[in-house]
Amino acid sequence: MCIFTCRSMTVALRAERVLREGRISGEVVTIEPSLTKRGCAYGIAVKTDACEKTEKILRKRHVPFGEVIR
Amino acid sequence: MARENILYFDNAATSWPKPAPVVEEMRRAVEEYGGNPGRGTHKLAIKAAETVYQARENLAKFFRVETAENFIFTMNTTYALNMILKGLLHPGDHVLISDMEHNAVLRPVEHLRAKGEISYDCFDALGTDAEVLQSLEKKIRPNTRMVVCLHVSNVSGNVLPIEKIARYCKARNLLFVLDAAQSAGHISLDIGSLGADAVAMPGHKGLLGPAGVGILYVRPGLLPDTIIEGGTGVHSLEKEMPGFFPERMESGTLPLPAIAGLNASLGWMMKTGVEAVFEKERYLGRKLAWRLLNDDLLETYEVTEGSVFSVNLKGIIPQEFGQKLAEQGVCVRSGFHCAPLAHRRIGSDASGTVRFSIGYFNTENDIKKLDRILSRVELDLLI
Repeated sequence: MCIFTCRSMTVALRAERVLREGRISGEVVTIEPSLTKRGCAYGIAVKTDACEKTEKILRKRHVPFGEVIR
Repeated sequence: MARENILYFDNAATSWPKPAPVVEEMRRAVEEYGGNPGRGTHKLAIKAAETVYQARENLAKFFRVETAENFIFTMNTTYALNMILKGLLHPGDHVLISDMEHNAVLRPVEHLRAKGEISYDCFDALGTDAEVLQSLEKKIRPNTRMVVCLHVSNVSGNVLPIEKIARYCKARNLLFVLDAAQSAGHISLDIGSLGADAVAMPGHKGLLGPAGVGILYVRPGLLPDTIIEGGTGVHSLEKEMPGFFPERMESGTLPLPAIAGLNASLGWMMKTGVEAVFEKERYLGRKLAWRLLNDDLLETYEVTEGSVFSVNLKGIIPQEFGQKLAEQGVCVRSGFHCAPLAHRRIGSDASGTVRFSIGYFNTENDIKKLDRILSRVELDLLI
C-alpha cells in the first residue's frame, strides 16, 4: 500500500475521483498526525503497484499532494 | 396544510414546493448516513463527505466552473456576502454598489463605513446598459476597489447587465462581487466565463434546495481574509486557518442534510435544464405581468420580462393587501423586502409593495385562480 497525503478531505476525495477515472482504486484514509506535524490530515491509499501511475495522474490533473508514504 | 388550497407566489423569498428527490435525500442524510463530513474516515463520515463533495462538483458543473473546491458552503447568501465583503475590503477602500441592492449588501458596507473603514456610493442600476456603465464610470474614485451588485432585483425583477459590468471591472482592475440570490437557478449563469471575483447565492431559492445552505464562489487565486475561524477538520495543530479552499472559509460542522438536499436539487435542475426552467417561468411571468398591468386598480413598478413583480392596490397599504390575499390562500410578500434602496429607486419607499414571484412549480391554472382571487380581494378592499 502507498499513501499520498492530502491537505484535506476535499482534496482526498478529488484525488479518489481522478484516480477512478484512470481506473485506479483508491481509499480515503486518515494520516497519523505525527507524519504531518500539522494535526488532522487525510490521504489516498492505493496498491503499491499503482503508486507510480497514481503520482503521474495526480500531477497531470493538478491534484495537490504532500508526502508519499510507501 | 393542503397544497391544493395554496397559491404560492413567494418564490423570491424561498421556492416552494421542492422537487421530491430533495426531500428524499434529506431524509437519507439524516437516517442513513448522518456522519460529520470532513471529520474522520468511518463509513458514515466518508459518505457524508462524498455527498458534500458531489454537491460542490454539481455546482461546478451547473455554473461551468473548473474547480469544485472554490464553491464554499455558507449558512445563506447574506453570510456569503458578509464573508466576501469583509474578507476582501481594506481600510481606505471605496466600494460601488447598485441602487437596487438588498440589505445583505447595503448593511455590511454601511457597517464598514460607520466604523470608518471604507466609503461607498451607489450607481444607477436601471436604464440602458450604457447608462448603467456611465453611472458606474461617474462614481469611480481613485480608491475604488470593488463593485458589488445583484443580478436580478428581488423587488422588481430587473436584470442588471452583469457581463458588461464584469468586463468593465476587469478593465479597471476592480474586484467584482455578484449577488445571484434571485438569478441562480432561474437564469443560465456561466460563472466560469463571467469573470466575477466572487458570487454569492442561496441554495433554497432558484436552485430549489432547502433553507440552511448558501453558496459562495471565490475565483481561484483570490484569498479573502476570514471572518469566522474555528475547526476545519484539517491542520488542527495550527492556530491559523488553512490557506486553501473550501476549508479556509468553512469553520465548524457543515449542514449535511441541507447540502444533501441541495445536491439532489442540483441533480434535478441539471436533468430538467435551467433553460427549461427559465422558459416556463418567463411564460408564466408574461401571463402574470399582463394581468397586473391591465388592472387599473393596481399600481405597477418596473414590470420586466422576469418572474418578480411589485404592485400596490391603489389607496391600500401593501400589508393589508397582502393579508387579504393570504386569507384567500395566496402567498405573497408585502413590505420592503429587505431592500429599501430598491424601493426608493422605483418610488415605492412610502410603504413598500406587494411582491408576486413565480417559480418553476407554478402553473397556468395558478395564474387563472390568482386572477379571480385578485378581483375579489380588490373589490373587498375598495368597496
